[in-house]
Amino acid sequence: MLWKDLISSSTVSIRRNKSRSALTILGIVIGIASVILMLSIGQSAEGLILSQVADLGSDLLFVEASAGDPTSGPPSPFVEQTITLDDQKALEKTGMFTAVSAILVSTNTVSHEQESQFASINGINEGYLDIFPADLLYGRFFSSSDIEGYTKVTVLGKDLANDLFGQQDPTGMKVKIGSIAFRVIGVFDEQGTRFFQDLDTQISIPITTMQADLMGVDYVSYIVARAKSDVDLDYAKDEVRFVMRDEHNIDNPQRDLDLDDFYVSSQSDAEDIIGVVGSVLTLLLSSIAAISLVVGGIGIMNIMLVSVTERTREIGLRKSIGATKREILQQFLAEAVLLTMIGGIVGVLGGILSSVVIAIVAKFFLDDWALHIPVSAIVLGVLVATGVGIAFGVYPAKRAANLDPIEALRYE
Amino acid sequence: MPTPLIKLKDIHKDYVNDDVVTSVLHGVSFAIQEGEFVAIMGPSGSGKSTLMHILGFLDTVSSGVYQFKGQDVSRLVDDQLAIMRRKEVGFVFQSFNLLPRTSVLENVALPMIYDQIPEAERKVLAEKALKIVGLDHRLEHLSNQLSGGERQRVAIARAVAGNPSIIFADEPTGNLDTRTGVEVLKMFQELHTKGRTIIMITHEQEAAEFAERIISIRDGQIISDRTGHKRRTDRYTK
Repeated sequence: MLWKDLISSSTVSIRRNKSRSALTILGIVIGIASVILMLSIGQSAEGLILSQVADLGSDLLFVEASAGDPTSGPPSPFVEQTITLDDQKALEKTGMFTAVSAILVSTNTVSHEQESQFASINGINEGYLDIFPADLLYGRFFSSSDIEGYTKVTVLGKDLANDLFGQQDPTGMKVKIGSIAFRVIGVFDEQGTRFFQDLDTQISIPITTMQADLMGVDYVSYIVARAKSDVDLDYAKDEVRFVMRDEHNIDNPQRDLDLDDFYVSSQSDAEDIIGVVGSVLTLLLSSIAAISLVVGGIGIMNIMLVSVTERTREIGLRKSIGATKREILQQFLAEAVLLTMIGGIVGVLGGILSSVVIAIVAKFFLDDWALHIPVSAIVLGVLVATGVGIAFGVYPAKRAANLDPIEALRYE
Repeated sequence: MPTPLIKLKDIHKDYVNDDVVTSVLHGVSFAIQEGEFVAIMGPSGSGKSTLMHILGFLDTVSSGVYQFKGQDVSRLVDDQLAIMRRKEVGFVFQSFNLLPRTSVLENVALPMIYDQIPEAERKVLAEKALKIVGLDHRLEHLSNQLSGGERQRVAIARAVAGNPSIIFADEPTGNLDTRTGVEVLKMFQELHTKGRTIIMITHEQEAAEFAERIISIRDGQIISDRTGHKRRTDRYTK
């Protein structure tokens, strides 16, 4: 049998059973489409986070409380909050940074007259804008006297200001956080999202006021510092650890990160972690996809077995007119492979289409969302589909090939 | 006398099923020359179908010698049998065995696919064969749009298209009414006069009488081998 005839006879028998063929490949179609869709979403999400991390600048250091080195093992569920404003001052004194900002985060109810919102509250200081630049729509930002004086003033996110005050300029008006009144001194212009947090619905107050009046604590959530341009970041990291150990009275001459009660990281560390998370996610999605493809393959095998039984007489006839075992095997295998290949191609198209739809929807909520079509997954998808066809087509094809022609011709 | 096309010497065929041996053929011997039209006749269970399967390379002998064109073919294995079927044999079955929802032309051309004859040539040969059976006006009809008689004529065209050495017909009139049965039998006679070798298996005396030689078989043995009877060419009653 010539190759051309093999392919055309497979095409003919697939076309002869159009709706059954379509149902047969449905599993493969869904499997491949979901692989592509999931990988596309994964890559887009990773790209989005990475681009936001990159936007922060490569000269940022983060200092947060930690029981030992969080990258060396599973994170401890109970981390004592050990970072304080004194640490911030000590870091400022090193002279390596253009700005050092301590940040304390919490949530509470924010209200003005009848309007009330549950919002994220950021306790920040006057250096915050040097770390995370933002424009003001109305009013002014915190001054150092606001911080030192524990004043009850606030700067609102744009959407939150809108929800509470409507379109008017709210500076000078009062809002309540919990039961404590704050005076509005400014409103941020639109900031969008950072790490999937909508900045425009948040409210900022002086970190000192937040510690003393709102939460009654003396710790901060984390410190962010921006290194001067002539300072090597790895050197700065080591220096920060020195200063912090000094501040926290930690005796750690071996520089064992596990002995520290804090952790220092940079943007590139964050990128590494995101990369690891991304690969784990990809692995996870791929295994789910692999399972769905195996299920799809079993579906193919089922239908091929039914088809072999149904076409027993045809197989008998083909054998009686001179088809060898090998030729029967080839024919049924070709049908299975052709089916799954079609399934693969349809799945790839479906996956791309749904990725595009998802990207369009995601763009409504996340401005920086960019569509990624994983080219490798497309090639892999078609190849895997073909492989599934071979793997699950062999058994039915063998059954067909081994039929006895006399028995097959008599089959009713 | 020239080398016979088929020569059987003391053919035995036993089937073993769960240690029970069933002997179907015991000691069958005969020779068939090229160009003969032979009917192998016998009641069901006589072993005539088994004999045809052996002659048509669908089955092998348990003992004895089968010579085809002077070559011993008694010990061929699967693939060799398949090659013999594609090169030497054309089959016509009781139940036609056409591919469903497939055009007349494609059905007739099907065996030649396995003989690796190029598509264009297959088409020419298939059309020629369909002209012989008088269906050259229905090339593109689908097999399931035809009457029983037409289907069997397509099957005959399929059997002769590749120009095999011998045509086997297994109860070719079994699924046809008397009139179309006669048409089919006359078609075999016509093919015979054109030089084809035909072996027809049947249990009907009247159908067998369309052939020029009748080998009767019963209980796995030949009980008569006659030529020179008055050949039927017309209507018979079942």
